[in-house]
Order: sequence, then structure tokens, then C-alpha cells
Amino acid sequence: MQEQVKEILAQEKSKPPNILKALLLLQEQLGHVPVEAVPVIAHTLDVTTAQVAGVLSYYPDLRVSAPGRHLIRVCIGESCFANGCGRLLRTLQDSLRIDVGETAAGGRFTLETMSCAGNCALSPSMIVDRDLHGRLLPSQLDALLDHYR
Amino acid sequence: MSMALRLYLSNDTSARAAGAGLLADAWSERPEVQLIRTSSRGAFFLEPVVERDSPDGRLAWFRVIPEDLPSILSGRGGTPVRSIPFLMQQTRFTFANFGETEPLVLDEYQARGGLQGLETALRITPDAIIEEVRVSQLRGRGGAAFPVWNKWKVAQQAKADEKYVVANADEGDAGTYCDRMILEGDPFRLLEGMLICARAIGADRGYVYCRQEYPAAAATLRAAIHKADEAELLDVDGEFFPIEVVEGAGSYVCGEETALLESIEGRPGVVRAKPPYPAQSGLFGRPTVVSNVLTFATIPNILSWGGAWHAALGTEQSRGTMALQLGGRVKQPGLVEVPFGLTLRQVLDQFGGGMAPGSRFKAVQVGGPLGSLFPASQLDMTICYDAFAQAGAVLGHGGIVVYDHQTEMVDLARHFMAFTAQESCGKCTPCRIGSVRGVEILERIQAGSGTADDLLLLEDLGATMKAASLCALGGRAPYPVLTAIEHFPAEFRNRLRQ
Amino acid sequence: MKLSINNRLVVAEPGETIYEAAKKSGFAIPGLCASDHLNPFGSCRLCLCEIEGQNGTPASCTTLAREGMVVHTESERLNRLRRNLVELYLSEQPHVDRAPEVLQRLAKSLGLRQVRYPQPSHRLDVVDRSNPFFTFDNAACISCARCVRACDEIQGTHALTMLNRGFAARPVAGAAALSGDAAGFVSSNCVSCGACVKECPTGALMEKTIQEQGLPEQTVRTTCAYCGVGCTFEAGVRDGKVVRMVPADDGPSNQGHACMKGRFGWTYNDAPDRLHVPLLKQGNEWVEISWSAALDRIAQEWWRIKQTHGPDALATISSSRGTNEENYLFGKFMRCVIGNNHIDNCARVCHSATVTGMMETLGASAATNSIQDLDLAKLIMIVGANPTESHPVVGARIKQAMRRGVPLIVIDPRRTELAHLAGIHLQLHAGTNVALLNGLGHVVAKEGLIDETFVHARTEGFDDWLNTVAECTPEQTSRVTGVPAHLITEAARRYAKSGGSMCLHGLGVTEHRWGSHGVMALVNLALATGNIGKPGTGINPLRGQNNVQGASDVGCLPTYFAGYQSFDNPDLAAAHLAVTGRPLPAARGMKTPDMWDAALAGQLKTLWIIGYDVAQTDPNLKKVHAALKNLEFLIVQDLFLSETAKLAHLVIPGASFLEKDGTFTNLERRIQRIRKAVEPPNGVLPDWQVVCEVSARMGYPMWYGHPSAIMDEIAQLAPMFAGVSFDRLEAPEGLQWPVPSKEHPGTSLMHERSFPKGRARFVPVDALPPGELPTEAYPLVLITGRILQHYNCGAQTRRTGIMQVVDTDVLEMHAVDAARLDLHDGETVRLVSARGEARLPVIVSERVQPGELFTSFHFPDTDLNQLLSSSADESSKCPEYKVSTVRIEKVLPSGTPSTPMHVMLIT
Ligand SMILES: Nc1nc2c(c(=O)[nH]1)N[C@H]1C(S)=C(S)[C@@H](COP(=O)(O)OP(=O)(O)OC[C@H]3O[C@@H](n4cnc5c(=O)[nH]c(N)nc54)[C@H](O)[C@@H]3O)O[C@H]1N2
Ligand SMILES: Nc1nc2c(c(=O)[nH]1)N[C@H]1C(S)=C(S)[C@@H](COP(=O)(O)OP(=O)(O)OC[C@H]3O[C@@H](n4cnc5c(=O)[nH]c(N)nc54)[C@H](O)[C@@H]3O)O[C@H]1N2
Ligand SMILES: Cc1cc2nc3c(=O)[nH]c(=O)nc-3n(C[C@H](O)[C@H](O)[C@H](O)COP(=O)(O)O)c2cc1C
Ligand code: SF4
Ligand code: SF4
Ligand code: SF4
Ligand code: SF4
Ligand code: SF4
Ligand code: FES
Ligand code: FES
Ligand SMILES: [Mo]
Repeated sequence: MQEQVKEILAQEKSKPPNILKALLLLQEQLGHVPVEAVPVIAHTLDVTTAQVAGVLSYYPDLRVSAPGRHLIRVCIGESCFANGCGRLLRTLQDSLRIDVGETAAGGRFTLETMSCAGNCALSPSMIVDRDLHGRLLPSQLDALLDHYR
Repeated sequence: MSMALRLYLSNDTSARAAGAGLLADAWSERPEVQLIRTSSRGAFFLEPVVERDSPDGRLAWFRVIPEDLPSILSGRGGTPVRSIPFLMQQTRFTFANFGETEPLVLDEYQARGGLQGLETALRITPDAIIEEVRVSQLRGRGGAAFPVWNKWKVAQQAKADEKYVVANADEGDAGTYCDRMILEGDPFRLLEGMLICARAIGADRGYVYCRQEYPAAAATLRAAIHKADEAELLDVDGEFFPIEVVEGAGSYVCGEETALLESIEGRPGVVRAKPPYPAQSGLFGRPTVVSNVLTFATIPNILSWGGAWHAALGTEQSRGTMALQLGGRVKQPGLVEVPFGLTLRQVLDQFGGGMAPGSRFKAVQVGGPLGSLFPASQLDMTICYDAFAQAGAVLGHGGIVVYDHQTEMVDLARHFMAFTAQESCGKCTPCRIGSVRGVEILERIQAGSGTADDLLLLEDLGATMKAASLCALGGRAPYPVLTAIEHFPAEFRNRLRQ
Repeated sequence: MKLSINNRLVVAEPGETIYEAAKKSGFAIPGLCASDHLNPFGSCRLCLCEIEGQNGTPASCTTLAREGMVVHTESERLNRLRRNLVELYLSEQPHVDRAPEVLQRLAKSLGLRQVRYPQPSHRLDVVDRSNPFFTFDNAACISCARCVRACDEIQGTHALTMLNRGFAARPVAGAAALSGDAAGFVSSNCVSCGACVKECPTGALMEKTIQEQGLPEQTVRTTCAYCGVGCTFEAGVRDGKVVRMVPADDGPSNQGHACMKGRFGWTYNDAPDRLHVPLLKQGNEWVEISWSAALDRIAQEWWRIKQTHGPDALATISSSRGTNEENYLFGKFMRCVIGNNHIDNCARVCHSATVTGMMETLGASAATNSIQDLDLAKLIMIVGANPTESHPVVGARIKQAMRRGVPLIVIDPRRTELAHLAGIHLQLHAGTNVALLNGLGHVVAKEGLIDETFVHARTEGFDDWLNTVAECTPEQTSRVTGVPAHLITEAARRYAKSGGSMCLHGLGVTEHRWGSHGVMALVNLALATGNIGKPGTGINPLRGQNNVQGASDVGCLPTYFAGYQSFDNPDLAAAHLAVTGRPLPAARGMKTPDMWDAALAGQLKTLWIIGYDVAQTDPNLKKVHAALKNLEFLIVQDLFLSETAKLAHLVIPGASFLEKDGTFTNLERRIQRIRKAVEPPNGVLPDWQVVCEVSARMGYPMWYGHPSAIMDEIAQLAPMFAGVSFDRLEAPEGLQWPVPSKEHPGTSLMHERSFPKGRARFVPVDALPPGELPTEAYPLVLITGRILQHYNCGAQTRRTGIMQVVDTDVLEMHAVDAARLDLHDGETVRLVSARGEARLPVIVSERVQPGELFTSFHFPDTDLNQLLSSSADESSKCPEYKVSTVRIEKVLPSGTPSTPMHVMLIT
């Protein structure tokens, strides 16, 4: 892993080192930022482990463990709230049998919430991986998830 | 060569979510169709919209499904775009290109008046640019509504080895999406605005901090920067002016300008105390103009048509147009560009078209998650920075979300506080601890174990957060909660322990 | 700038915040997150104020004072806000009854009686005890980030961060917390400087000694007795024992900062094996004897030897760890009682080459500028010194300067922490300073970067120097030193053009075969570019021990009397006679290495060694041991039974710096007080009283009521101290010599208008090879020096909690060499030179280049200095500690598990 991390980080050459960019890059390639890699990351970037930990623990998008194969993010922003994102979320929790922040058995789906997908005119919205879905009705969810199964 | 028919279909993310992508896939192999992927007009309630040219200008078909193609080809059932009331009644300056152009075709941008502002800016002195902006009375569109020229002047006068221009494309307020539309739909307008600013203050580098939730926006912008570079536009006083797109990582408070700078530097997005203001000491400690995307996008017209043109629009204290973004339970959600000065009621009626079917109006929230709630009785509020300020509210980034009769105000209030607790950077006490205490109180009320004292405590806590917080996240978080209690007291009282 | 605060007129400097202005004028605005030592932050929000004509309640600690401002810091509204904020703090405490005292006090003063939040969620109740010296208790913390900012802004180590965000935000060290481990400090790069502990407003970070022994009842202001920075401390005393040492904010050289050793490494003072009673060796046994018997015995033996063998059979090596007063007295004793100048001190092995090099060129041999000049320098050049380890408070200050954008050039064969951070690191081969410095001179001369005005007005011998450097092209220099030519050119340009370059140098310049030449080459460069006699410039030796500067200043030298006065000065001779009643011996005395030769030759019969562990720290140990063993009577005066003491006939216990009064002179010539904080262990006499007692027994009573009287005598005899007295030293800033008169304010900047000899002299020097070069038999170059955590012979630091951080010397080796020799971290090897051998564990390190090795000398078990030769600088006899050729032999079969060790390399 050490070598792989170093290789990936070789692409991130900001001066002074940019920890956030480096971690995003790692996450893009590894799916998450393994905690065990923090010392190598710090050393490669020439910063301290504390500095890496500070950034890694601050940003909601950075994850220290691998998510499921598909990441579902339900928007709970105000427009979606007004348009019933609560029901959407409950339906998903029931059908996947998981809570927000958890990964479904089999590791297929991880369920998360997000704040505004910028799709408010088509609320309620949800993002699966990189696909944005709008004007969602709870009744459509099963078919939609089937698409990713 | 067969004469394929040019059909215009938006490539905007929301339009695609509404089905534009589906149409494109379905029709991509059809020889009789030539699909032009444009920006979106913002009438999202009609998306996906398909348009074609006609002697009357564009004709549009709404909420199109693939099977509608034959009628479109035949020209049946189209509505002339210029007769769509939602669009007709708007005053489009910043969004004039929307629905018309292909976002990444620089020639089209130029053909419709693009780059004229920059040309003017290159002709005149930096002082003259700033003077033009001063005359325009443009105020920042990101939320704080600070006079734009003033920031530029400070940054221009600051002495430093480097200076920066940063576009705030974090657009974190729920219910807003006009920045995304610009990034995806008219990126050269943003770049032009940034270049004008760069020339005015003598900047060396530009950054666009784009939220991670907008992948298409970042990609489009990067492509636009590449094209602008090829066209040798990225030049300030003979020096290459690189513009970098930096993506965020899901933190709302990173939209706050100083947290944003921390984040660009790669550190935790923790808010800095001001002063020093970014214009004095910003990114890497250098003078930096941070402005909202919409603010920068407003600049080119001001330079091409003059500050006085801009100042002639709007109200006494709020000049120009505002991009309002309708969402929630309105019938016609979408983008509305109008001069300041309409009332909330006018906007909701004329553009929103009333409530969504089956919904009854309960409240409207303006200005994102930190904005106040207005009940029906306050709909005559003028849309203007100062009228809002006087009412203790904010116009923010122009998000307008309508809640209907089904919304439980206690739940909504908890939702707001939980948002703040979730997004607090954790630097200052009132927000770090206070927001959690606020959630706890509201959860007690939700659970039926709250008391009247809890409501008083919430008010006192709210007052403390308002007065003592370091940034507007903690400082404004109590507003939606307290206005909910103020306007819907019964809903809270009914849930208290008897 | 004038403003009104609470209806009182207050004067503020531009850039000052309301909070600072108020504090200066005696208003205490409540506040927990602001600190004089840190940038404005504004997190606690307690310091809110009201400003007339302005909405809201801005934080006074982040709001700049403006002319004419009308500010109120007390009002019912503000009081209520503050009460509510303190209530929030209390609400997150897991144990409200045990809430930090500051919070309880604030609550009381604000009238907060009860926390109104029922069952609030609270802070994680975790404690990090992994630092040997202090603990972090998250429950008592208010997440104000002062600790984090202290580590960043003051110490520049970045060992801390705020973890998480929002309610969960809390400080942690390192990254252990990410995996749920509370032991953050031990796995971080924390260097235990203690800055975070000092900044913590709540006691969440707290010294273990305080937790174990309670808060001090009184404090005594004193000066650290480790290195030459001379940090000012408040010694906290309880029940007659020191319980903590806190750096003083008004300490002139440290401004509230400290390092691990001074802050936490003082507990040796109560070590169980401190010497309490004089010990006499009988056969192979130590016998405790009474003080009077011991003192009688010294007097008898010395009287006998002097009578039998003449004065040249007696010599003293005095302690650069002792006070000025003690050192002066030992010198006086030798000169007046024994009648010779056979006295030396540890400066011999340290910066003696600086003394000769600077004397010949500038005519004075001490730092030309002051530590505070680091804030004025436009460029800092560090030559052969490792300040972040050897002079950590200066090191931190350099890192602060770098944060402000001041460029740094480091000349060192090793990649030290600063070399790593520096814009330019000239990584030369050990022993090639003169070549490199001449090379820089060549570029300066060739590119017309000479400060002509300065050279013509203030110097002589310039043309000779020009001729010497004319041949030293960058290419030629590169061949000798291994430094790329373009870096040489670039460094020379930057040094010459910065508008004020400050040079700091260390043992990497002096401890060489041609150490004095290295110093002269450095001075030449500064003279040629006019970087001397101005603020923020100069030649500044980072003198080593706490009082190595002072020991030499007051005449513990075989070549000079106090104040660097020559023995042949007739005025001095007269004054000496008048004041002491005895003539001043005119002949130069023996330097330390001469003493070894004399002892081996049987001419030197007795030595009195005070606070100096020559048997461990001098080079070519076999020879030193043989010399010591050849003595008839060896007296060693020390706090502990050091390696040298083990060879003694009589061992005299010493009183530590915490147990006596006197003065030390730091590396910027600053004379500072040390004060008795606690009593020495049962009747132990401070060194100065011992020498008085012996002197009296030898017929020359020296009675002083207090060390201040000794200083008065020094002032009488040495013109550069004429204005020094203990009264004046009560001022927090002490006095920087020269202080030629009672009215003179002291000298922070030397050579401003003229040099002692009028003009400064260029002394051109040619590059010459070191004492030995790698051969087939000894292919590797061994560099020796120090590490942050331990101190010299280690007698003191090895008896403290520092052992939990580092418990061995290690041999640092480049990965290429390690691979070639098939060696792995922790594997013990035999290091062999032409003189002897040493055993050390190996560690692969990025700090050394291939072909070079590094180790420290703080642990006696290794017998490291057996490896070193007696090769020394020609003129000063400063040993060549920095270059020895060695080979490595594997002693363990591959795969043998390494012995566990605590090691921490500063990178
Ligand atoms: N922690 C700690 N602090 C101390 C001490 C201690 O033992 N421990 N001892 C104190 C004493 S007595 C002294 S004298 C000072 C000494 O303080 P420093 O002068 O910093 O001492 P060293 O670490 O011995 O050597 C400094 C540097 O010289 C470099 N060097 C070696 N050879 C050459 C060369 O040929 N050219 C150049 N340019 N550099 C070279 C080494 O790599 C090393 O980094 O520290 C004092 N402070
Ligand atoms: N290999 C190698 N060897 C070196 C060096 C190197 O770089 N490499 N550096 C050399 C240098 S620069 C130096 S300065 C020397 C330092 O070497 P030393 O002077 O031998 O070491 P220190 O630890 O400074 O102090 C010696 C003794 O003083 C005692 N002491 C402290 N305070 C007092 C006091 O108040 N009274 C009395 N009586 N005793 C006291 C301590 O207990 C200790 O035993 O080492 C030298 N040796
Ligand atoms: C919590 C918080 C979030 C913010 N988010 C945004 C944002 O997403 N986009 C934005 O342009 N400004 C945002 N701002 C406002 C910025 O701090 C800043 O005022 C603005 O970017 C300046 O640009 P303008 O002058 O063009 O408005 C936010 C402010 C706060 C306090
Ligand atoms: S505050 Fe009122 S009067 Fe002033 S511009 Fe706004 S609407 Fe007009
Ligand atoms: S108000 Fe909240 S987000 Fe803003 S600085 Fe304070 S803790 Fe951070
Ligand atoms: S002791 Fe010093 S180095 Fe360690 S964490 Fe505290 S400030 Fe940083
Ligand atoms: S440990 Fe002390 S200094 Fe650090 S955040 Fe907590 S209270 Fe503040
Ligand atoms: S820097 Fe030197 S004087 Fe200061 S505390 Fe450390 S060892 Fe003592
Ligand atoms: S609120 Fe959900 S997309 Fe904007
Ligand atoms: S002291 Fe000013 S905010 Fe803490
Ligand atoms: Mo030394």
C-alpha cells in the first residue's frame, strides 16, 4: 500500500503541499483514505500526521473506510424537505434495512444524506454514485435501485 | 447530405435529471435530428424542454418524452419561447444567453456580446474599471451584499508579491442553483468577470472553488478555461493568468469566504476571524478578492454597458437584477431574473404560479438554511437587501423555498438546527456547543417532553448565538428557528409536555 | 492612537487589538482563547464588546483599535452573553463538579448559578497520558485551539491539530485518534517543548509533576542551565522542592518559550543518585568523608604537590556549566594561590576556534548581534549548527521567521530540520567549510556584490582575500565540497543581496582540523558584503553550554585573564596586584589537551575538574583515561558520579543551578541571574564556596558574603564588565557585555561604529583537507554531534523522563549504505576506527548522505569518543569531533531481533 500511496501522491505537487487535494486524489483512486496510510501520506507530502488527521477528520466527504459499491445520497436540503425527502429516506431505510451512514448487507449500497444537490427545482433529489435523480417519488425507488443491483 | 433538423436540448444537470439525458440517448442515432446541447432557460418545471428554430423564433415542447419526436419534427404543438409567461416577464441580463447558446462555444458567447466587457476593461485603467463598478452600485450576490468595488479597491491598493481572484462556487444554500447554471451554462461569463477583476486589482492567479456536488459544473468550467487559454484570453497585463478549479469536500461552511480560503490551501475549512479581510490578506496571506459566481457573472455587462446602466435598475439600495431561485412546493420552480423591487407575493404568483397541486401555502423561506421564514401575512415584503435587513432577514443568494400545509414546523425547526450542528466548523463556542443544545431542546419538544421553559431557553440560546457567533453560520442559525416559533407558536406549544 | 474604553482614555499602537490595548491599560476583558503569544483567533467569544456607532458585539481580541473609538466592555447585555457562553462550556463538561477552575471562577463572577440544559451531550472523556511530562484531559478542554496554535506559531512543530468539526472538535496530537487510540503524543512528532501546556487556559494540558506534587506555593526567577540560549524561567517551588519550571514571558532570549530539557528535564535535581557527600577512593572502594575532611584533603594534597613538583604540576579544568562567579574564583585561585595560568574550560572543545577566528579578524570573540535580531534579519544563514535541536528556542524563532517569509540558507552535511525547511541547503562534505565559504566569496567578488563602502571604511586586507578567492570558482568548489555549482552561486547572491543577512554558526565550523580557518572564512564573507555591525546581520556563534561564554569571559582560559585581557598588560598586572594582593602570572598556561600530554609525561600531578566529564566527552578517550590514571591526585566536583568522577581520588558533590545564586552569560553575551530556589541536599556546598574553603586552607582566604561581591570584583578588574552589578541584573533583560560603565546600557549590537582594533581584518585562508580522509580500511566518515533530547555527557538528562523519549545513542546511516551493508533498524554494529571501537544500534536516516554517518555522544556505554583522534584545530586546539574515518562491522547474525529502543529523530 505504501508504494501505491506514494505513486498516487506523486501526481499532487502543490507547493506548499495541499493536503485536501492529496486526500481527495487518494480517495478517488482507492475509494477511501486508509488510516494506516496516514504516516506515509504525511511523509510523502512533507507535513505532520496531525495535519493530515485534521483535514481527514474535518471534511464529510473524506472517508476512512470503503463505502458500499454504490453510494446513495439523499438530499435533505430545504426544497427537498418541503417536497418530502423524509418519506424518501424512510422508504430507502426500510427497503435496504440500514440507517443513514450504514452500508447494506452484501456491501452493495451505502446510504447517506446530503445538503442540496442544486437540483431544487426538481426536488426531491438524490444522487446515486454520480447520477442525479429528481422529482422522485418513494414508489419509484425500487425500480431505480434495481438499476444498480 | 441530408438536412437534419436542429433541435435544442439543454445539457444542464437539472434538465438531464428531468430526462434530457434520456432524450439525447434515444435520439442520438436518428439521422433526421441534429441535437444542440444548450444551457437551460431555467424554467425547470417545463424540463426537459426541446426547442427548434422557426420564423417566430424558437418553438418549445415541454416535458418531452422520446415518443414526442414525431410531433416535434412535424412542428405540431410547439409553443413560441417568447410567449412563455414565466420567461416573458423576466428581465434577463446575466442569464440572457441561457437556453440560447452552447456553453462551451466561445464564438457564440462572443457573438452575443461576450468579451466586450473585458475589451473595455483592457482599454481603460484599473482605477477606471473600479470606478465603473462603483457607479454600478453592484453588491455581492453571495449573501453579505457588500459593495463590490470596495473590495476591489482594497485589494488593488494592498501591496503584495501576489494577488488572487477567487470565485466562490460553493453554492451551499439549499434552494439555490443559479451558480451551478452559470458554471454549466455560461462559463465564459464567469471567466470574463474574473479577468476584469484581475486586471483591476493586478492579480496573478485565479481560483474557482466549486462544491463537490457539482461535478458537471467543474468539468464544464475546466473545459471553458482550456478554451479560453487556447484563445489566449487568460492574460492580465501581458502575464499568463492561470485559473484553477478547486473542488470542495462536502463542507457547507467552506462557502464562507475565509473557510473557503483555508480549504483552497488544503486545510480544514475553519473560519478565520476578520479583520484582516481577504482583500487585505486572503489566500496564502495575500490580497484576495473573493466573490460569488453570480457577482462575477454580472461584471461583464457592467463594463460593456456602463455602471450607470446597472445602477438604473432595481431599488434605491439594491441595484441591478437578482437571480431568484424558486423551489419547494411552488407550482413552477425555476430561475427568475428580475430587477430588485418586486414583492415576495408578486414573485410567487407571477412566476411560481401559485402552489403545487394539492398544496396550501404555509410559509416561505428566503435566503437558504439561514434565512428567515415568512408567513402569508408577510408576503408583501419587497425583495431588496435593505427591506430584508430591516425585517431581520436576509436575501442571501436568492433561494426561495415554499413550504406547504403538510410541513410540521417543529420538525422543520429541528431540521435547521441539526443542519447547523452538522455543519458547524467547531471553532467558536456559541455555534459549536449552542447548535447541539438547540437540537437537543427541539428534539425534546418533538418527543413531547419539552416545556415552556425550553422555549424560553431556546430563545435565550438563539440570542446568544446571534450576538456571539464568529461567522454567519452560527449567527444566523437561530433565525429560521425563531421565526418558526414566532409565526407558528401553536405548533410548538401543542407539542409541549402538558 | 487614542481611544476610549469604559470611559477611560487608552493609548494603543497601530495594529493592536482592543483586547491588547485594554490589557495594557489594566482592564481585564474576560477571554480564554486570546494570548499575547498568538495571532488573534476569536473562538471563545467571551471578550465581546460594544463599540459606539457599530452594530453587534464584536470580539475585542480580533478587532483592531482605531483612533477615537468608544468601546464598552461591561454591560448587562455583555454580561448575559458571557454568562450564557460559560454555561455552554459547563454544559459540555462530563463532570461539572470537576470543571476547570477558570470556568468555575468565570461562572461565579458572572452570576451563573446553574446550567439550564438538562442531560446535555458532553465531551468525550479521554485522557492522553502518553507524553512523559504532561497529560491531556479532553474532558477539561474547551477546544479553544490555543495548544494547536502554540505548536504551530510558537514552536513550529505542528504536532497538534483540531480533530473533527463542530461539537466533536477537539485537539489531538498526531493521528492516533483516527483509529481510536488516545496515545497521541507518543506517536506524534511532539518535541515536548511545553508551549501548548503553557498556553492551555483550563489545565486540560497539565504537567505530571504538578498533578503528582501539587501547584507551587512560590516561584523563583532563574535561568536555564542547559544550553547557551539562556532561557528565563520561573521555578515553581512547593515544600522546598521544585515542582515545575515555566518559561517567563519577559525572558529576553526566550520570550516565554522553552525546550524539552529546560522545561521538563530538571528532575535530575532530585535523582536518588545525586552526590550528597564527598567520596574518597580507598583501594577500589568509595568512602564517604566529611566536608571538612574533604576540603582539608584537597588543600593538603595541592600544597604537597605544589611544594614537591612546583606550580606546573597543578591544573584546573573549570566548568562552563557553573556560574561566572565560580569560574572567576577558580581562575583567581589558580593565579593567586597556585601561581600559574593552567586553567581551561569546556570552551576548548567547543567554540575555541570561534574565539581565535573572531579575535584575529574582528578583535572580539562573541556573537556580534542578539537573538532578537532574528526578527530583523532579511535572510538567515546557518553554518554547521542545528538550532532546532541544540538551541531549540532559537530554532523555533528561526522557524517563526520562515513563516514570515524570511529566506533561509543552511550549510550542513546533514539534512537537519532546518536544512529540510530551508530554501537552499548546501549539503557539503564534512570538513570542507573553508572551500565552500571561499567559493561563496568568489561569486560575491566576481559578480560585484561587494559592499565597497563598508570594505573601504571599516576593513583592511581586502585585496589579499580577493586573491585567495579568485581561484575558488563554483565549479572548483563544487568538486571539493560536493555541492552543485548553481546552488553555490545562488546562495552567494542571496546572502549578499538580501539587505541584511544574519549568520549563525556552530560546531560544524569549529570542531575541525581547520576550525579557526572556517570561522575566518565566514567572517571574511560577512565583511565583504557589509553584513556586520548592523541590526539583523553579523557573525553569531551559537555558544553551547549555559555558561561557556561566561567561563571564558571571566578568565578560565590559559591565554587570557578575565575580559580577554593579555597577561602581559602592565595596567592589568598592577590592578590585579592591588585588588588580589598577588601578582598575575605572566606565562600562558596549558590548554586541556596540553594537560593530557603533561599528565602522560608525568609532569602534571594533579587536576581539579569541576563539572566536566572529560572521561566521556573529550576525544581519543584511551589517551584521556590514561592521562587521568597517571595523575597522583584527581579531584572531581560534580552533581553525579560521572565517568570522570569514577576515575577520581576525591569526589566533591556540587550544588545545582537551582540551589545557588550567581550569573550565567548566554550566547548573545547576556549576563543573567540564577537564583537559589531550593536548598542543596544536606549541606552540599556550591562550587564557589568549595574553592573559597580550599583557598583559605592554603593560606589565601577568599571570603565573599554573596556571589554579588565576586561580580563586583570582576567588574573592578575587567573593563568590559565595569558597569555590571547584581543590582543592575535585577532588570528582566539582564545586561549584554561590554558594559564599560555603570551608566552604560549594555551592548546588544557590537561593532556598530568601529572594531576593537579600529578596523576589521580580512584573514584569507586556503582550503585544507581534514585530519583524515576515507581509506579502504576506514571508508566511512563519522560525524558526531548532539540530539535534541539529551545533553552532552548525559549525566543530567539521562536521569529524567526524557529517557522515555530517547534511551540510546544511535548510528544514523543512509539507506544506500544500510542496504549495501545489509543492516536494519535497531541492529547493533561495531564501529571501528584507528583508535578504538564502539557499539551502537543502527538506524536508517534521511538526515545523512551516503558515505557519512552520524551519532550523538550522550550515553557512556558506547565509549564513542574512543573512536576519535587527538587531531585538533592548529591554533585553538578545538578537537576534530566532526570528522573521523571508520568502518562498520556486523556483530549479530542477520535476522537477530533488534533490542527495543526509544529513538526520535528530528526531521
Ligand atoms: N539538545 C542539546 N543541546 C545542546 C547540547 C546537547 O548536548 N544537546 N550541547 C550544547 C553544546 S555544549 C554545544 S557546543 C552546542 C552545539 O550546537 P551545534 O553547533 O548545533 O552542535 P552539533 O550538533 O554538534 O553540530 C552542528 C552541526 O554541524 C554539522 N557539521 C558537521 N560537520 C560539518 C562541516 O564540515 N561543515 C558544516 N557546515 N557543518 C558540519 C553537523 O551535521 C551538525 O548538524 O549545543 C548545545 N546545546
Ligand atoms: N563525540 C563528540 N564529543 C563531544 C562533542 C561532540 O560534538 N562530539 N562536543 C563537545 C562539546 S562542544 C562539549 S561542550 C563537551 C561537553 O561535555 P561535558 O562538559 O563533559 O558535558 P556536560 O554534560 O555539559 O557537563 C559535565 C558535567 O557537569 C556537571 N554539572 C552540571 N552543573 C554543574 C554544577 O553546577 N556544578 C558542578 N560541579 N557540576 C555540574 C554535570 O553533572 C556533568 O557531569 O562535549 C564534547 N564532546
Ligand atoms: C456559512 C456561510 C456560507 C456561505 N456560503 C456561500 C456560498 O456557498 N457561496 C457564496 O458565494 N457565498 C457564501 N457565503 C458568503 C461568503 O462568505 C462571501 O461573503 C461571498 O462569497 C462574497 O462574495 P460576494 O461579495 O460576491 O457575495 C457564505 C457565508 C457563510 C457565513
Ligand atoms: S429599503 Fe425599502 S425604500 Fe429602501 S430600497 Fe429597499 S424597498 Fe426601497
Ligand atoms: S459560527 Fe459556527 S461555523 Fe462559524 S466560525 Fe463559529 S463554529 Fe465555525
Ligand atoms: S509540547 Fe511543544 S511540540 Fe509538543 S505538542 Fe506541545 S507545543 Fe507541540
Ligand atoms: S487543551 Fe487547552 S489549549 Fe488546547 S484546546 Fe483544550 S483548552 Fe484549549
Ligand atoms: S533552549 Fe536552551 S536555555 Fe532554553 S530551555 Fe532549552 S536548553 Fe534551556
Ligand atoms: S434542496 Fe435538495 S436539491 Fe436543493
Ligand atoms: S478572547 Fe476574544 S474570542 Fe476568546
Ligand atoms: Mo559545547
